[in-house]
Amino acid sequence: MKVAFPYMGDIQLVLEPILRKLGAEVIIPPEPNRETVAIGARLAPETICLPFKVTLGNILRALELGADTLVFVSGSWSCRFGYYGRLQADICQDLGYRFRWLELRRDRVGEIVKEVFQLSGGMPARALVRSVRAFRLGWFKATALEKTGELFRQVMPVAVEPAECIRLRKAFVQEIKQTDDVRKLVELRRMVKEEFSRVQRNGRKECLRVKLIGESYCTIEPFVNFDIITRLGEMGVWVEPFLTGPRWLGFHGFRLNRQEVWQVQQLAKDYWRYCVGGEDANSVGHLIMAAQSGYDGVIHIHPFACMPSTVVQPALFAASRDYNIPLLSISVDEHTGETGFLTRVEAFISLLERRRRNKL
Amino acid sequence: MRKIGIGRGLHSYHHFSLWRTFFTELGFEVVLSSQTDKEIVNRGVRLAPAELCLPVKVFLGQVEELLERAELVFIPRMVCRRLHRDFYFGCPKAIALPDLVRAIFGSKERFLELVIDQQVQADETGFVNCAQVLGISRARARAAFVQAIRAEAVAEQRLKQGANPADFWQGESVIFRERFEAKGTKIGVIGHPYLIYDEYISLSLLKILTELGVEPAVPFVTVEELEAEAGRGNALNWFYELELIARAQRLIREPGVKGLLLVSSFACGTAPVVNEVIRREIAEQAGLPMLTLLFDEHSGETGLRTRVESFVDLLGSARAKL
Repeated sequence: MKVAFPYMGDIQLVLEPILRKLGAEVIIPPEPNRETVAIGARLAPETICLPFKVTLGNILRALELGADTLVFVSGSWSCRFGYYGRLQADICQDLGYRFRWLELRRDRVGEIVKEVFQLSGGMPARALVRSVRAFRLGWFKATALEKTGELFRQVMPVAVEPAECIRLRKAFVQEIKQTDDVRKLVELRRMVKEEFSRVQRNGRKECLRVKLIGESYCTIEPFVNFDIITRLGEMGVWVEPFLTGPRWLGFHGFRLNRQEVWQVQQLAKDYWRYCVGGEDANSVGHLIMAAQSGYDGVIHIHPFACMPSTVVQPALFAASRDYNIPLLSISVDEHTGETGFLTRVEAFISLLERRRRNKL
Repeated sequence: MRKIGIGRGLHSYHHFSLWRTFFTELGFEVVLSSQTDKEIVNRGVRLAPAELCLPVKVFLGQVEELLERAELVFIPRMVCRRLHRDFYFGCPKAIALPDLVRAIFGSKERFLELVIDQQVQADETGFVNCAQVLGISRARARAAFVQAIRAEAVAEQRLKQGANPADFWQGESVIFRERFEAKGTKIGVIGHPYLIYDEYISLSLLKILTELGVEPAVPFVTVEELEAEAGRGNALNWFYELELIARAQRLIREPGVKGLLLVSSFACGTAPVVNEVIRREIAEQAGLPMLTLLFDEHSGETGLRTRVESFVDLLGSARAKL
């Protein structure tokens, strides 16, 4: 069984070992690029959101590479995300590809369990041991990745040489990717702290802190948000996304960390009572949280015509007014140019700098 | 007598009789927003974020107008309905409508929210809670609800006989009351009622069709049909979109229907998915030609007329060939 799943930030670094340990062969499509988007945009319905187009281009590349089983995360709810799997499977079948597709959703857990069972040759004990090992490895990989990303975002804006941080992160991600040894991963997690603490600082005590909120794909996938975290890090701005790849998997895939989600939604209650998808309530809640913990500004990135993100915009602006925190809301689609995007972000950053100067 | 405003847009086309009766029974005067016109659209466009769909923008314009004429404005929250042992949701905009309106107008007291969410409560509870906000007792609210349900059943009977939902707005505005008897050529029109029955947004699409000598077929979809469609198992989990699919299923079986017109608005979130499903799974399999029309605040009537005309011509020539 050759499994493939759509690319999204660094989630494949966590999902790949899990699936591999469960006994499947994993095909990883190349990172999204201009070409994948072009293919996706040509085949997808015209006005559907950007993540659909990018992931469609992506799984088509995976099918070209010989994948025979596609895994989608899905769930039928009010957002279009719930229909990605179904439509994408239809489109790929029209192109003549033959494959099986597995939808990971709450009402189909039985199917997935059966699948794992079959991969282990139908032996329950083996399936159980394998799953425990797989998820244990996935967990340690995820935490190591999280630590690396966290330190990278934190240290980069105050480093003398931001390029050094980029290099360090790349090296660590590579190592995390290559090792399957849990002890090594624990060791890496420790080393990452040491290495980053050795990076030479430029002596500035405080840097601008910006929270990144928005639709999950746009927040996580650097190709779609033009790697805004690194770009702004180079300019000396600490950008903290409210969601990262491993955390997304943890929350949407395995429903971890419910406590935090509940707290965030509680904060958003005054502005947003029903969660309709696209991380709407989370965005509002994290905006308020950012204001309360002293962030300088918030950037909201969402795909053009994303339903939940569009309706949540007025609520976000209302909250930003009430809590007195600047907000920039940008929508992206396949026609968004990098220069235009970054110019808007840079203008926002200068505004934040001036605001902070005036405050002091 | 206290006044309560109900916007003409969105789900009023589905539930106006129910809502009006409920509030009149409770002793309110129901104020209806004025007909959609340039003024209302401009107001909505000014208020709303640019990427919202036109019907929601129009609704916001109506709400602003109602705030000038009524003390309270009624905003429904259509979350979830149960059909065939499964749950069907409203689109995100329908679910978040009260939050959206509150955030835009910055006031909390002047809006009355009704929650329809059959996942957690029966419709009756929703209405009773809504009335309690107004300080009305449970018993009285229940009695009003019973009356409202009756009124809705009567309205449904009339809709089944081919009435137009816009007929229920205080007896005015009828788009094609005299049923047009064409020479057997029908075009099925599939789209949300708040789009196709609003003459201003849809640029009198139905009128244009009748002028071209074609009968627009817009059958009313009953709850039984929706249940049947839901029972097929592979339907979409959007309630009002399920209606479109059921209507498409019915139209391909209706004798005399030569083509389908799919009407949606630009930036309508559900349209790309629903249109794709209707095109792939219904129209192509039935071998019916289909034209998709997108409306936004910049649509012009000439362009629309040209496209519809050429579609009708094409249907004519396809028939001549056979």
